[in-house]
This record gives sequence, structure tokens and C-alpha cells, in this order.
Amino acid sequence: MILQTRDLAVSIGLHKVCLGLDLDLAPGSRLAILGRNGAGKSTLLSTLAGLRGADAGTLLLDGKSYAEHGLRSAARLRGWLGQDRSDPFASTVLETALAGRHPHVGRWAWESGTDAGIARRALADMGLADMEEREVHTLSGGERQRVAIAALLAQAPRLYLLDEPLAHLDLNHQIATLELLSQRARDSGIAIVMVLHDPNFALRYCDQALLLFGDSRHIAGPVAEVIDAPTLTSLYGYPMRRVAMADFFHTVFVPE
Amino acid sequence: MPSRRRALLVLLSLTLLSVASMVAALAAGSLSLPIVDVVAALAGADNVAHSIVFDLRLPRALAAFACGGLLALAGALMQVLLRNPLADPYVLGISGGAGVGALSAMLLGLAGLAVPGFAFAGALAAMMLVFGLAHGDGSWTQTRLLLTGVVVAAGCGALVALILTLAPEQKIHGMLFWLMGDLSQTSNPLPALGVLVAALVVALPFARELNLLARGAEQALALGVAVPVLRRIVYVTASLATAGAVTTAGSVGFVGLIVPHLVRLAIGNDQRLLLPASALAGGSLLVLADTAARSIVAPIQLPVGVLTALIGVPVFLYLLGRSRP
Repeated sequence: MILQTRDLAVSIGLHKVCLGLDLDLAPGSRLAILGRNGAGKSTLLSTLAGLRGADAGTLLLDGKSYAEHGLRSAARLRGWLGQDRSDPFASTVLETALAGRHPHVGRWAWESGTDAGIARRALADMGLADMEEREVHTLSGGERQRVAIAALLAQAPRLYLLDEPLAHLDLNHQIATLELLSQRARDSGIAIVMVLHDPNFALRYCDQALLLFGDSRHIAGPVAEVIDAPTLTSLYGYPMRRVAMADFFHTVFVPE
Repeated sequence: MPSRRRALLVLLSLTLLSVASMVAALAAGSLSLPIVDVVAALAGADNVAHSIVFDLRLPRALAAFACGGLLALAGALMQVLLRNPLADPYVLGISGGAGVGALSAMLLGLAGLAVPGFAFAGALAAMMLVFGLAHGDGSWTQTRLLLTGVVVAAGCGALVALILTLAPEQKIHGMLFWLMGDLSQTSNPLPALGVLVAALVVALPFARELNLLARGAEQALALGVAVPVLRRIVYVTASLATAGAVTTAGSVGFVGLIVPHLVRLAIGNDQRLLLPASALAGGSLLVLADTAARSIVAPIQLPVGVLTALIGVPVFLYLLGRSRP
């Protein structure tokens, strides 16, 4: 298991995000976290990334706790995409992507040609091949989001923890990003945990789902078992309906 | 794309600029010396220039270089620590504390080493006060640190104004010069040079981690940077660098805010290059400004802080305008 939790309890302030959470994430699996605003999705994700502590329970990354790994070795195993895109100082697209190579470069070494090659390939994968000399300040919100994902690809971790990876992306790039990530999961065996707002993307691109209800209750399991109209209705507090597609093979969930 | 080769080229040319500014500082003044004589004196010739160079101008120029370098380095570090391009070495109240110390010593009629001694004690007191208050509940956010520093600086400003009001008239001139930054009282440049070397030696191994800290604390942590430890190292280094500079030359303004931006506009924001380049550029700027301060209307000496601003503002505005896309 690349990521394993047992009886994990997470809270922020007085708000209990989850209690008794058991997760098992094998290489290649993709877990979607769904829930309302303020349910604690980001808090849980940064706990899974080892950026903040849990109240109770065990959290193992590749069989060891974060403390046992140490910061640098953990950074080679798992990558974390936050929501914040503020850059107070100017930086080019390539420099921003190269930041992801930090845990692979020694203290006294500088980024090598190999590192630059990895960063350039990551930018090309995110459709930013001709933008490497642009200042990130001059990019649109969606382009900056793709630069941030490219930095994560350059980091080349085995576990991706993504907080709203599709934020600011147009539909075309939402699909392209999800396709790229699931292809990496199939081919290279990376595991993914991502916060999503569209249950249909969770159905299509993930094999597991974790639903956070915001009152410490949660449901976790295979997407096909966990995601249904009554559960989504209660999760979002808005009536949701299941619609069969004309091919009778796919289903989608739409708000009433 | 950052590379060692480019960094070495930039640092080499800034080193040449520093040397040129030192030569200018040794040659120019109320009695201008031919450069040939200056070089001969430096080589050991016992000419008229010898005593002017070694007793008067060299110590003062070295002190100016050290202070400028310290202020620019501290400014660059503070800007990363607070993730705020408007931060300067004085934003967290260190020069305020030093000012209260130095002016108290002058008010009490103490002379000699008492003024820098009191200034250093005041700077350390302000540094510990801000650190303790900002750290109160264990968390440490940039906003909390910044607000604590600004409030402590405001308090020190009020104390400075109070001392100026209470001071007898014949002492006010010296106090104002100290507050504007003045290198004419410095006798020994070695402590400041030592602090500059020490600060660079401490900060440079962490330069790439500082690049990540500038992008955001959580992202840096996720990439393997020990953020709380790094912040403490940066805070203490920048504070001691500032304390070293204000103790030597009073609160010279402008260098610490503008030089890191000047360097950034010219060569980008890679801290591995920005930190040493800022130190060299800040040092050169203050040497040139101090040379101008004691030569322009010689024998009258102007406060060097006025000159740093008069030289720096047009250069900065030119670079800012040029960089517009």
C-alpha cells in the first residue's frame, strides 16, 4: 500500500472532519474526495500529505510514518497540490516547474540538464511547451493551474494528493488533465487522491470515493457502490437524479 | 533556467563594480588623490596618500561596503521571510530599537563605543520582543510577524521622537545624523565585515529552500523544506545583519528595500544568485553614496542616507520602466 490510514481522526479547530477513517490506496488506484464547501476536504488532504497532524490514528506512506521518512524522503514519494496560486515575486514558467525537482537535487548541486528535461516534458504534458520563458504573472488562472500541476509532474512522486486540480481549467483541459493522470496510474502505477466537485468525474476517472458529510460522518468505498442519487442528495443537500445515457452503459448524476 | 555559469558571471561583474567603487572612494574626497598615488599607497609606498588612504578613507569605505551589503542582504531575506516585496530590514522594528538605544546613549552624554553598544543592545531587544510576541501561541504566520514588527517599530518611533524632544539643542544635530545614517563616526570596519561574511555563510546553503519559501510555506513544506526551522534561521540572520549595519552606520534608509529589487529586476529571483548579488550591489551603492556624501559639498558632509535615495530612486525607476512588457 502506498497510503494507508487506520482509525484516523482529523479536525480543524472545533470542527470534526472525520473519525475512524480507514483507507488503503494501492499503486494505480485513484480516490476522489467529495463533499460540500467547508466539509474539511482540504484539511483531510493536507493531513494525508503530512503537512498537519491528525488527532488520532495511524497514517502510513509506503509503510512508514511521515516522521520515519523525514521531509526530504517523503517529498520524493508524495506530491501535494494546494489551492493557493499567489506568487509575490516574478518567476518564469520553467523556473516554477523546476521547483518540483527540489527533493531530487542535492543541497550544493544546481538543477541539471536532466532536471530541466524532466520539467520541460512535464510542461509539454500540460500543453505549455511554448511558454517556458513566460512570467507566471502574465498567465491566466487556468494556465497557472496547469503550471502548478506540471511542477508536480516534475516532482515525479508515487502518490499525488491534489486539492481541486481542475480549478480554473476549461472543460477541454479538465478532461485532458484527468486522462493524463489516469493514464499515469495505469502505466506507471502512481496513486492519486483528489478533491473533486463533480461526482461524474469521480465515477469516470476514479475507482474509489470518499464522501465527507462535514459532521464527522464519512462513507468510503468503490465508486460504483458509494455514489448513488440518495447519497449525493444527502451529501450536497440538493436533490440529485441518476440519468441513464442513451448507450445504457454509462450513467450520470444531474441536479434536479 | 538557473545555471552556475551565469551566476558566476554576474557575481564576477558585481565584484568588479565593488572594486571600482572602493577605488573611487579612496581617490575622491575633499582632497582628491590621483588613482596612481592611491594604488601606490595600497602597494605600500609611503607617500602623502598613504595616511589619507589607510587612516581615513579605507576604514570608512570598508564600513560603508559592509553596511550596504548587510542591509541589502537583510532586505532580501526579509522579503522572502514575509513574502512581501515591500519588506525592508527595518520593517520589523530592529532599526527602531537600535535608534532608541543610540539616542539614549547620546542623551545620557555617553560617547565612544557606548553609542554603538547601546544601539546593538536596542536592536537585539527589539528583535527578541518581536520574536517573542509573534511566536506567542506557537503558530507563526507572516501577517502576525509583520504586524507585530510594524507595531514595535511604531513604538520605537514614538520613543525616538520623545528623546528628540527632551534632548538639549546641541545634541540634536548628532542625533538627526545618526537617524539619517552617517558613516563619519565609524572607526573600525571589521565587526561589520565579519557579520556580513557570517550572514552570507549562514544564508547561502539555504538559498534554494528560500526560493521555495518565497512560493509559499505549505508548498515548500510539501517539497521537503523544514519551514519552521528555516524561518527561524532567516529571521535571526536578517535581524543580526540589520543590527550589525545600524550599529555601524545608523539607520541608512533605502538600500535594504531597493537594492534587492534592483538586482531582481536585472537578474531574476533565484536566491542563490540574488543573495550574494544583493550584498555586492548594496555594498557598492553605499560606498558610492558615502563617497558622494563627503565630496559633493566638501568640506561639509551630507548624511549618506540622503544620497542613497538620491542615487537609487532614478536608477530604480529607470529599471522598473524598462522592465514593463
